[in-house]
Amino acid sequence: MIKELHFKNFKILRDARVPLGPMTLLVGPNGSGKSTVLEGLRLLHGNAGLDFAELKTIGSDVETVELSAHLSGVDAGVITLRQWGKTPDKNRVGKELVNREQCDANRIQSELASIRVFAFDPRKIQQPAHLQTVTTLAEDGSGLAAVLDELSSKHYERFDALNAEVARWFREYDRIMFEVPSPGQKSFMLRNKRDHHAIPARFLSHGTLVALAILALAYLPNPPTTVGIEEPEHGVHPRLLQDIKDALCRLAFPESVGETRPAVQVVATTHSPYLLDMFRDSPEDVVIANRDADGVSFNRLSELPNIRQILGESPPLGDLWYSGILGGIPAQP
Amino acid sequence: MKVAFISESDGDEAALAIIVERLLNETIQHISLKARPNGWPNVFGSLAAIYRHLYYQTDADGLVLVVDSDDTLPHALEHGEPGRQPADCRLCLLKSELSRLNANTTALPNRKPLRTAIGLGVPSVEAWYLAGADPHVNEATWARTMGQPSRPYDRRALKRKAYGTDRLPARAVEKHLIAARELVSRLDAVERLFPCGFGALAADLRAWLS
Repeated sequence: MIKELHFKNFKILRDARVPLGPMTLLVGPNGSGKSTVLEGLRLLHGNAGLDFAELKTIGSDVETVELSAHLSGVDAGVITLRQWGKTPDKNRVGKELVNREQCDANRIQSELASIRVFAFDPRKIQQPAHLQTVTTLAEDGSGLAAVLDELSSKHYERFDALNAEVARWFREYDRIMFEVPSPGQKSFMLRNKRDHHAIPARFLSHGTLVALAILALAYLPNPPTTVGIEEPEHGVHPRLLQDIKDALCRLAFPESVGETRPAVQVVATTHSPYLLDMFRDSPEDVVIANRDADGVSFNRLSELPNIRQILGESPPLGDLWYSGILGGIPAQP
Repeated sequence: MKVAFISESDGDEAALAIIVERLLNETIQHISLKARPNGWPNVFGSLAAIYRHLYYQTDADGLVLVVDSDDTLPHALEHGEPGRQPADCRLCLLKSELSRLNANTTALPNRKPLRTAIGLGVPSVEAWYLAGADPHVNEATWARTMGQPSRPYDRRALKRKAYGTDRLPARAVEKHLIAARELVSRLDAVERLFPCGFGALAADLRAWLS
């Protein structure tokens, strides 16, 4: 598990340490580096395709951009990615593993390669998937039809459980179905509970598509080791956010729902006070980003002074955040 | 009898239905509320609207409210004495608010008043599930250690003991149902160990029968 990310001269994060846990909800104002943290995860995965000029803090004359991932568990150690900007042949970001302690480098590489960061785009989620080429859920949610199809054909019990959740989450639908729009492609539909008409994905609401993608992720038999999700509440009705939270917890704490697969480390960003409300009982899951003249800092909610007393008799956590008492709000004029 | 519930989760609500049926000794028809207040401030803030909705727009006979005390003052028997009602006892606050609502609700012809029953999980409902099974878990211990930096247990520890995890999905009901079925087999012990939080609920419900 990644217990901390340390950014140096990385976009807005000049020198910022981000504490991470099994489940981390990042909150903070726009431009406070939440998405940059997810970008760091993407970079650890290795597919970011960014270059030095895009990564380095704007306005600085630094020569090195650095991201260190501090790992805990059996592979405790530090992995550092460095990029020297003025070395012509290293102008692309390269992954330099500086492993200061004894651990299994291959296993770490494999875990890092399994990191996925999602920013779900409903227009991509609804698209038909090419069955021969797409087998995983892409960053934008495309390929969901193929992922669902694979679940239905190879993991019947999981697919049944997923359908039961679909019926519970969406009320008007009770089952995922498939159609073949053209040879080699599949798209999914949701069956209407009342009259059993199947509604094609392209006619489903954006919120339903995003929620379905998150739900499917939670029911994968072999999910990524680490999952980053940009604003999982995007387009989702506030009443469904409890289910979204439960799906994220299913990933992060599989034993709590009787799952036997390994835990997935979850890092999600949010601007939703309603989603934040649901983390009142686990303040260690919440990390607040603050931006001031000195830069950006990240603090775990559970480590704020006297937080237990503050939360004790307060309004919902989301309201408390909105009030500014906890920080993580836009700078005042 | 048609009964609506306000509690912390779907699981708590399903469990309460079992407990209430046993205390009333009759099958109840569960009236599902469209709204579920989230957390104490929300429960208290939306109580008036829910009460009036149940009275004017449904044929509910009763409303059962069960909230957690969290780190606030647990209810005590002396709170019922004149002038001794503290400002921060959630059970007393709910009781007072329900009295006000009952007094200020314009009676409809042929509509019986809404019966109400209030329980307080000290510090949470999971403590009831452990009553008798864990000798350290009871109202007296919790009240005695109020304000101390180190306490014998907390809400998350109670969840872990009751459900095997402190991350049970809010919509999951099965483990709550199992815990509730065990609880109703030892109601006497629960009432003895939680005389104010659970005892108040039991007393209110018995009053419905009379």
